[in-house]
Amino acid sequence: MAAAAAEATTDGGGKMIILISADGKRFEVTEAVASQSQLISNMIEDDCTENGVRLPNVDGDILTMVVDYCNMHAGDAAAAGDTMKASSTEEELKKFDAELVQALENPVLFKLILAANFLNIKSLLDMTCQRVADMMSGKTPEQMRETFSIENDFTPEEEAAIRQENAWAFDD
Amino acid sequence: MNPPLPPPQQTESRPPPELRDDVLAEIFSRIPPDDPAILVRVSAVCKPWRRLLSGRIFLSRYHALHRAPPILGFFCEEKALTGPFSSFVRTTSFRPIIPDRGGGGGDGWLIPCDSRHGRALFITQPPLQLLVLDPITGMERPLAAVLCAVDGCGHHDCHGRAYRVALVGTDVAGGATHAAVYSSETYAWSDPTSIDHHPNARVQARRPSVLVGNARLYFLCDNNTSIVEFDMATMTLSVIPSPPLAGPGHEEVCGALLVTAEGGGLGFAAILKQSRTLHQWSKEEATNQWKHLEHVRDLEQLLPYTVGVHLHDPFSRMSNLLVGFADGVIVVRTHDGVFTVELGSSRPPKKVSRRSAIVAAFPYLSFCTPGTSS
Repeated sequence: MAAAAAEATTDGGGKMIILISADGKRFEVTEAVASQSQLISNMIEDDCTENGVRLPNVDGDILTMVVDYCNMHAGDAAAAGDTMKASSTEEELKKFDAELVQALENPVLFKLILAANFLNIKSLLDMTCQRVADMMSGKTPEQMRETFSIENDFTPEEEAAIRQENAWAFDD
Repeated sequence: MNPPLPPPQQTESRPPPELRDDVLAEIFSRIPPDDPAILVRVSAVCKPWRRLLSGRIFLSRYHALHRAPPILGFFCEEKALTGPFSSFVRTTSFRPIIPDRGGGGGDGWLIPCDSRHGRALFITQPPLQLLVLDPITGMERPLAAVLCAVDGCGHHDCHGRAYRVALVGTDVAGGATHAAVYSSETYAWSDPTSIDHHPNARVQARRPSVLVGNARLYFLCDNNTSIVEFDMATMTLSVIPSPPLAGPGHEEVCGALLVTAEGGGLGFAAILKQSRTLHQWSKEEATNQWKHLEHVRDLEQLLPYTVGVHLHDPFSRMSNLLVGFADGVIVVRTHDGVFTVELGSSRPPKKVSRRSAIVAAFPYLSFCTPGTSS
């Protein structure tokens, strides 16, 4: 996306805001789109978005997804008055959301969660966290360690004790 | 024995970003409580995860998000030729840790008499005593063997750690009901309090009680027409009448149970024999009057196989069909087994057990987080 003047105005009359990723990529979005992030919404209220919003912990590729997500969902809010349009939008949105999280590899999904958490975009955080929570279902602790690249720091005795304590949870 | 797990040696070309505790908590809090094995397994992944899941902050967040804990199963009393015994009917993968006291033919027994706030209360013999059990950890505490005639008990827990046990029983010979409260903080029983009442109305053994607010416990007497109220805050007992059963003439009741009404007040449920319908009442605090609720459920439609098909009318042979209640769910026993029926909903009943000898069922509700243990 091309950089533009931070104070540009769209057809709809909303102000434009520039988001700048950790690796210096710039994204131009409307206030309505950006306001889905509670963090940015607060900044808009405090009038400190004039020189663009620097997001030092969000990479450009992740911010691309976040902006796509916010663009899609801001459209939904705008169409709320028109029932026919809103319902078709809702379906499209569901499809878009499902495709977004299903397709992601874990490291990317985790980065997206961190971005949603940092930017405080509740619906995106909900959706991405739920996706990871769903991944836990049916997995053994070993499989979870593999999925999350986590080292087992229990001693064999400690692990045996935990398993014994709730043996029912480890029946497969 | 088991060789230690090999340390993960693989050098990650792309290590996943570190998920901080606040983000992990966001993920873990979305794990469904009605599949309790998942959280337990997550807590066995590594120490930081286990610490996070056992922490107060996560627990209160998880409880706030999911509100009511799920029903993990039912502690049941079953009748057998050799005497009563206890069983746990599972509705999830959860299995409680129950101390072994024999039962069903052995010389010792252990029978559930209540379950509330993550704990279960049993009567054991020998020695005759009350036992408070945390079924998740297996932690048990016998209470001093003060009882010779336990007729009914209710149990109440304050925020996981401290708890109280209310013991309410009727002295048949004396025509009085006595009550006392045990506190796990002082390790002591309160002085007993008593009330005289009609000798035909006895607080019944091991029948579910209902807690209203923090301190008022209700027990239905065996004649189904009187209810004993025990206010633990003021240590007073009183007797209130059950709702007058609807219909002209005398409708026979083949099952009655105290329940929690919508809004948390006292409720009453009964199966009327002639019409084979399940009725509900709620007690209005302001007027102290019972109000008959409109939502009446037809048991013939609800449980068609058990009601219609048998040569012998099952209602005439089973004296009490309502054996348990929790969280808007009522437990109905029939010759074909035990069913749960959601009050105030039109959903079909769910069969939870094929055993028909269950005479009391105490739903066990809890979250299965590692911090649940005390």
